[in-house]
Amino acid sequence: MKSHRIFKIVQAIIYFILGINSVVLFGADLSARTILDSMTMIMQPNSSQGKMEQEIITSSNIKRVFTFNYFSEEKGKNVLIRYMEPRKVRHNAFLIKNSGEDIWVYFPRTRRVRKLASHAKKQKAQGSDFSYEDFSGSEEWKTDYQVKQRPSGERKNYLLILTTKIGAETSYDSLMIYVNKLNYYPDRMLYYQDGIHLKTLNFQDVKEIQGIPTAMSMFMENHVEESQTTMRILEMKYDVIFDDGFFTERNLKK
Amino acid sequence: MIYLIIFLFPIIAFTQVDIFGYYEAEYDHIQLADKSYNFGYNKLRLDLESRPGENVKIGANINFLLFNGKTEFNIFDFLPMDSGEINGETISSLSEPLLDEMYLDNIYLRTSLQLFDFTIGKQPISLGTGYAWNPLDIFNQKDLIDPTYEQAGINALRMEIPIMNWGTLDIIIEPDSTWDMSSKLIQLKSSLSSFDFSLNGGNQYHLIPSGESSYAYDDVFFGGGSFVGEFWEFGLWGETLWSLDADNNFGEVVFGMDHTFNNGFYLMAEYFHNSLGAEKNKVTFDHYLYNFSGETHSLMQNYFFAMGMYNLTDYISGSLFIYGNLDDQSFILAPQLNWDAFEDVTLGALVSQSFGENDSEFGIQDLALRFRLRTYF
Repeated sequence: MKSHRIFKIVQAIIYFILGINSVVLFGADLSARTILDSMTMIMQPNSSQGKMEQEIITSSNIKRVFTFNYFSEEKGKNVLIRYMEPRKVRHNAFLIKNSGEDIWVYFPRTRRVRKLASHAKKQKAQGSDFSYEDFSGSEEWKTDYQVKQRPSGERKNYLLILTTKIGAETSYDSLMIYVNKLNYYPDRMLYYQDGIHLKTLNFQDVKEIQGIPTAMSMFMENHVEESQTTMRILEMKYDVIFDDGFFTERNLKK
Repeated sequence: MIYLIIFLFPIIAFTQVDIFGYYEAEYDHIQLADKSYNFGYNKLRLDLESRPGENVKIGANINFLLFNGKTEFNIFDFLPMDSGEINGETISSLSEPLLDEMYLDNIYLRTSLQLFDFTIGKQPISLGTGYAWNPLDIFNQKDLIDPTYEQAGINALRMEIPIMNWGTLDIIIEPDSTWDMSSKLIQLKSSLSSFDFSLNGGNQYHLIPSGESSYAYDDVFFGGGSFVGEFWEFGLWGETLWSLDADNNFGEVVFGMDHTFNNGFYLMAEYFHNSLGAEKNKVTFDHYLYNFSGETHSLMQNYFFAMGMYNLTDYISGSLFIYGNLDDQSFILAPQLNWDAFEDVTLGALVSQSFGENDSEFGIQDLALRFRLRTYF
């Protein structure tokens, strides 16, 4: 009788521990905001410098490949992109500051710097399925969108629904983000505009660089235009200390 | 300049040099009131770039140009008058030949020091915020049919000095035979909220108004500025440069705005005023000559330029631009197609149709066609 009671107590303790583990593992009580904070912290390191390849496949199955150097600071608030290939756009450069609010473009043949109005941030960068805004950081998601968590129907992912706050100027009405429960790295993002599922960004081949999970390949599908763009990381390093004045017009022209 | 070339070429030859450029072929047809011409060119632009040190860059480019079709034009074919007067002599023919050529368009050395960047040599200079016109750019003149085409190098000394995190002081000197004849420009550039702005001062041996409708040359001091930014989802920009002589006050001003709609359609418009241009009904042969030679940035005083552009497919863009002379009511309407046929190959086709009286600036030009192919390497 006594051994039966001890067995019951041990069983209860095991169930309790398993119960706690399941909460920790699957985060049932984590708030949507916490998940979003964790995700943006992980996917947007403070500063980074890398070389990327962008492969665009159009709806008519034409392939174009661009290579560019990428520099970012303040969690992607300021970004500098310098194209290396193809030859046509060699040394063309973009400086994107204040999360896409200010964009300057540099044309090396004329050594001309032109400031673009912020409506240009919604446009395709070099014909890809990424807009200039997509290159900027994700910190604005916290201020521009309301976030809610919904059942994802997937064991490994949370599902966050982001909807635009009234008065916020955003390119998308809503975002659906599937976030990996183990490392808080996004698995995929679905972009909606005027209620239409516009694009899906898939994060693939996630590896750790300097302890930070990094998708070595990002695959953007445009469901309306039936085109796709794959962005591959060729080189990347984090926590880079840039000189003062690196993210300036002066450096854009170097 | 020759010494600079002699000094720089061995460096380019013996250091690691990046060689790139493009080949461009253009075919043009122009229909005038009673005649038509075909002409074109083959162009090879060879760019050379070397970085002998982390903060030193040497850039150069050589252009090779071979013209074909009609290679000699009579300027009077493009003027609404049969004769003109040069140095008291009446002429009815003024020939402008297009000669095959090879020339060093740019050769410069740029060094970035801790406190400033310094560039010496024949270099590309592009100033101002305007698209079709740039009053602040006292060194260049733009072609309205192709305002973004690269401009000839300017033999100059340029110093760009960053001022803390506040802005940049830009000093450009284009030396000439004497200090007075040299062109000088100083520009203080900064930003305020979402607007970038500049304050400019300049000095140039420049054309000035003289009498009712003629010109003279004098040493002129200029003052001006520019801004670019946005207001309520519209990009806005403007620039002006005006002479500082109260007795002989003249200058230029441009205002522009643009917007990209959510469907990607881009629309822009500019208005330009040049007080040095001819007044309505007072255009003379001299006005045309000064305009052709680039001494004045426009023939008359008031102009507009507007453009709409849309990506028809991922690699084909269509644009329609219209520009005109508001004083004589003549304008050009030009639809254009650009196709990025391959990764480094672009093809362009342009048709331009003029509207206006036969004695107006653009009305005389009638119809023109242009095909252009460019391959980068």
